Amino acid sequence: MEPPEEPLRPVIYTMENKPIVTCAGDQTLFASVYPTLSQQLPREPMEWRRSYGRAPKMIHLESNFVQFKEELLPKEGNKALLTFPFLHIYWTECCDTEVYKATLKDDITKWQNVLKAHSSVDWLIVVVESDAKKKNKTNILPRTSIVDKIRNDFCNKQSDRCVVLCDPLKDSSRTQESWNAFLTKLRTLLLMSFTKNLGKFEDDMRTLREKRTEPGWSFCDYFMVQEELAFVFEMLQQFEDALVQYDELDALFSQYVVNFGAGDGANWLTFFCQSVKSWNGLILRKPIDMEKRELIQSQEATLLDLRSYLFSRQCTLLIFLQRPWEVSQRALELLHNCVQELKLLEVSVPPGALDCWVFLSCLEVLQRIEGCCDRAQIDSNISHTVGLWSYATEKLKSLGYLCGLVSENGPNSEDLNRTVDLLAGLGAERPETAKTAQSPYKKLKEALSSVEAFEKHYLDLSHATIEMYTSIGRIRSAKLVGKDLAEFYMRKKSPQKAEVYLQNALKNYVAEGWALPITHTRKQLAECQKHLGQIENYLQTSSLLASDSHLTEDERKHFCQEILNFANQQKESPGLKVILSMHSFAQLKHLHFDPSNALVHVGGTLSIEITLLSQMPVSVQVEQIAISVHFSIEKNSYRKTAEWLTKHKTSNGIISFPNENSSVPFSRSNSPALELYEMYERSPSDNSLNTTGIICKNVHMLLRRQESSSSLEIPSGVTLEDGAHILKCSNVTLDPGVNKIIFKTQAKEPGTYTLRQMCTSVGQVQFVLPHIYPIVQYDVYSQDPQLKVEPLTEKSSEASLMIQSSEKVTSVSLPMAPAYHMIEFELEVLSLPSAPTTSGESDKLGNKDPHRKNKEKQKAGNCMVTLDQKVSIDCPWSIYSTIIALTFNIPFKATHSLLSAGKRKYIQVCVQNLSELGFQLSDSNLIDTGNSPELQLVPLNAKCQQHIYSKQSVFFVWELMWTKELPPSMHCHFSLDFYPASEDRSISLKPYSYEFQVENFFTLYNVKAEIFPPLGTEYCKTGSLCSLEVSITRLSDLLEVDKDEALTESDDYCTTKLMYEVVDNSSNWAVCGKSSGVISMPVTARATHKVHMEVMPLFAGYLPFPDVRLFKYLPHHSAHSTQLDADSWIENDNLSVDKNMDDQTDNSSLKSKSSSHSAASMEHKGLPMPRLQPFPSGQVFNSSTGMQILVIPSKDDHILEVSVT
Amino acid sequence: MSGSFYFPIVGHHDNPGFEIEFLPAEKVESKHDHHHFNQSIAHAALGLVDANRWLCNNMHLKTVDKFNEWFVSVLATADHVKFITLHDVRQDHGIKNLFSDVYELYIKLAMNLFYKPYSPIGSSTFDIKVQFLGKKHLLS
Repeated sequence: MEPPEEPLRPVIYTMENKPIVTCAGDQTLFASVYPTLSQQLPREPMEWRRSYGRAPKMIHLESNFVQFKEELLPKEGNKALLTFPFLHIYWTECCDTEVYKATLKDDITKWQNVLKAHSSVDWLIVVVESDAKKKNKTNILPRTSIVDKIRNDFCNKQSDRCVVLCDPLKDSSRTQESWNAFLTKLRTLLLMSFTKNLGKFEDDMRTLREKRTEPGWSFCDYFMVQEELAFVFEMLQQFEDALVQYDELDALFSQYVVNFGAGDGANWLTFFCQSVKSWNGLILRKPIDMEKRELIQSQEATLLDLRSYLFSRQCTLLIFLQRPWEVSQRALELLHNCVQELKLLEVSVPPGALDCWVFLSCLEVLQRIEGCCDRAQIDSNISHTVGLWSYATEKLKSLGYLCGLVSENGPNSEDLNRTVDLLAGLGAERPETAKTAQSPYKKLKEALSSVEAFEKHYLDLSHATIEMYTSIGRIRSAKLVGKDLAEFYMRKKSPQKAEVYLQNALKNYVAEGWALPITHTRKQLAECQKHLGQIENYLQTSSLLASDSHLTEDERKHFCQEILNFANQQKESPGLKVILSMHSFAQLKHLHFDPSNALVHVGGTLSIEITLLSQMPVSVQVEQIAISVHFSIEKNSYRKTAEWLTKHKTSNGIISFPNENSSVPFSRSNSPALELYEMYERSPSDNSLNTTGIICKNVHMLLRRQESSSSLEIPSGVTLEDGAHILKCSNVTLDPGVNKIIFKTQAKEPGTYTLRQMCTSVGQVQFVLPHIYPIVQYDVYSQDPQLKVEPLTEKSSEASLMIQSSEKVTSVSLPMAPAYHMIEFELEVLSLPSAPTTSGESDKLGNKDPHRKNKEKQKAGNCMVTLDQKVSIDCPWSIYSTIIALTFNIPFKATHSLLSAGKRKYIQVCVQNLSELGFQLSDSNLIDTGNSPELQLVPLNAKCQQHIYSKQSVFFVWELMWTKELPPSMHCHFSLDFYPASEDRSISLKPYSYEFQVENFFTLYNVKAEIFPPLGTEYCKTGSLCSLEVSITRLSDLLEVDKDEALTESDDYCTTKLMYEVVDNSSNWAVCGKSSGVISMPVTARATHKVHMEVMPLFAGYLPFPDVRLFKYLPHHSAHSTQLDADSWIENDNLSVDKNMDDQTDNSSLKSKSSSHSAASMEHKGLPMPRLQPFPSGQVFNSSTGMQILVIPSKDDHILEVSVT
Repeated sequence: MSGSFYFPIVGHHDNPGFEIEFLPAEKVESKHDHHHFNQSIAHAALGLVDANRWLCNNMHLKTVDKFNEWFVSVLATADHVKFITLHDVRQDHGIKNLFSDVYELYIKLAMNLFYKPYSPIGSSTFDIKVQFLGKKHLLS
């Protein structure tokens, strides 16, 4: 077989390719129809049903109509699809049967035979009918038309293979109809042909692919086959399908490479392992890079060639599909992949070659995309392209480093050689880009040409990349590029430009706690600062690095030494002091106070022990550690009191400090937490749920820019406070790790001392901890003597004190005592109630000057009398008095009464125990304070102790004996020893005393009543009148007490007027006739006056005698007269006057009743009336008191008539 | 040829919480300087993780970034904890398995009341288990 290549070798102009349709028969006829045909064919889309379940597609068909030649028909085994004629059409306008039989039939048969020989079944015969011709041949019957004949002859069961086109060049509806039918037929047949031929092709292709494990299988061959299919799809404008073909090839190849990496190598792949000699980058400006395609076809392509070609095809298709951003994505992936694959295949690549290739490719892709998008599109899709920019930057950087373009001195000869080699590998510039000023090729060449050009290009790229990253919010990536840039600047000896990038990157790393990048960036920064001569910053960074555990010991020592060198160097020539932050140098861990409550009195000693964790790798000799202390006069003096001291003995005085600089500073964790709320929106009509969601209410807080946070690195603001109070500790060696340092101070001024700053001085370098937090304070107090009065709970030790006591004031002199010592002493306070307030206090250890004010409050009833007392204590150092309220309870209440038996007199004292306690009573004593010798009080009481229970009473009785005349009144003082029954006698309590006065106690009159039954009867009977005889006997001669208005004197004969009254309050008796009367009584002993009265018992039984009362009858001329005359009040039978006094007659302690009371209400009458005055109880002795008389009931008591007036 | 892997876990606040390297047996301990570079790449990739996680229904974001010869594959949990793997060979399947196994481990760890969320993981058990999983999925 002769090679078919020569005439069939297609020239591929992808876009111009159309499916080939051959035309046989009448060429002139076809030529006349062609314009309409080529125009009409693609107008209507056609549904293309696909095999293998692929989705049907609407497709616009176009064709390339060529004249039929046998050579066009593919030979057996030819895989070319592009040149494959999909349909063969035979054109004729013959309408003459004769002509048909003569020539046309033979011609068609020949054509058909050729087709059959090539097993092509896709054909069509078109018969063009024109009316003009028909008219000429009128003998032709429609029945036996040429069409029928052709169908009959050729279209064996395929009558649709012959179509009629009527008057194609006319403009009639029939023509239109005919065209439509024809075109539909044509399209259908074309698609049928596609389906059939492509299907067959695909099957063949698959078969070929399945053979890939066979030795001798070639990827390149297969590539060509599948690409053919891709071309056809592309020709049919099915770019998606075309792309799939390339993607399959891509995946197949990648899989082979991966398998190769895994040790499963294919023979053909070794071919791609040849070393890279050309690295001229991707070429995307041509639809098909024929050069590379030919290399693949001839199996000479390198891996980069294959990849480049494959990608250029994918790129073309993607751009057809208007997916430029996918191009950039895929490009990035491709570039990384290629690098990986070359590594995996262990392809030898000259250094820098890949960098060149990647750089060129990146720029090529970017330019290609820029070529098909407008600016706005590009700007809004930075996120898709920035990766390429970044990659290009990266690669240019490494090229720069490789070729010595970054070093200070420029490239050396070796570098230059390398550059030349690299440029050689680029080859000549492609013709497509030769005219473009900014082509990647030109850029690279220029960048590698000189140090300056490189710098320009690199900076351009870097800045563009950083800007893009920043604009899409990929700050971290921007920082990483910035860090490279900084490194570049450092190489170029422009540290001032590098610094900002390093600071920015560092800030970002620190904020998120990425330890290793922090360390690395700090190292760079340290170098930068050193070059810039920023001594302070450099030393600060050095201290951070010296304490950085991620560095090696040697590196740390180096940075530590840097600081020490500086410190020592400055020591010789003292200049500026450098103040650094302390946290990198040493950390304050604990602080311990002694005394542990951090409270010390003036003059006392306080020691503070601090635990410092030195971060330095070596021991550091520190000249001085100073803590500056802020002094304030604490207003809250409570803190300084001894009481505070005792209450705050907590925490052992140890204060722990948190790790200031933990390895992970959650800088963002101090941003507020999300505040999320549920949200429901209901439809207003039927309340059904419309929308639900979650709302973040503090978005504005959360989405704030993080960038503006202050730098953690710059130790600005570390200032040294100048304070008068400084704690110092000199010449300390700080070893790596934990160090304990003790500060001692003597407390001077009272107040609060706050530890503010700590400063460690090493030479001229000072490490300052600007704020000690949590707040550490100690207090110095100076306290005035304080007095505190507390109820005594237990006996305290005694000390001798000087006590001076006057009536109201007791002053105590305190002994000398050391500062802040306590002196305790007891002060006994005795209250003597009711008595004129005597302030008897026996001081065991008296102290102050107690003044006391008594305020007696006596509560009525059976409650104990309480006495509220106040003791005020004044101290010479204070203007304030301490006032202590004391309450005394008097447990007893005493009452007295005078008892008479004729002329004999007795005094009874009743002691009532009001308290809840029982007492033992003893030594009851009653004395006459008047001390008159004639009087004698004879006790009638038991001598032994008596127990008085709670709420009970005990009575004491004395007989009053006298020898001479009795005084009108007598002052008595009753005293009684007592002690609580529960205690023993050891408590010495003052006796209970009670003073009272007895007056007019001498008996003047003896009143005796007698009742006699009626004469002749033995007993009194109810209802019968009995006689009552009242005899009033004067027992003494004229006495002082008698001297009042009632007394009438004539010579030595004195009389007084008395009024008697018989009252029976119990209504046992009815007094008949006058029940009262006034008598004139001689004032001499044994004078007797008898009164007779009639009384009638009203009840039977032993009836007590009616009362007989005796009053002084004062005449009306007396100054205080009552309104009543005897008669009037006798008629009233109502003793009202001074009746109230009766109740009190027992209470003879009260003073004379004579004058004080006259009812004011009665005085308004103003009439001179006689007045009645009752006798004090002692003066009248009723000898018949308590007597009873037996009354027997009368027989007819049923008719007893009682009249009461 | 098996590659090297660097596997950090990055907390919610983009802070590194855990890191481990899986190196093939033939490779010696990676250089210190190299290590900081790994961290820098992982750190730089966080920006892309944030962008990608909203484009994808899956926690496993696959390969999000490439940096020179390094691929960066990420699994981002619902609470923004990121499992990152820097790898120089493609090993999607192994990484995916590693991620899902470590994720399960991490959940167990996170349920521990004594573990403060997103803080550095100090558990040696966790370390050992991750080491084991790495060997199982990546280096075998």
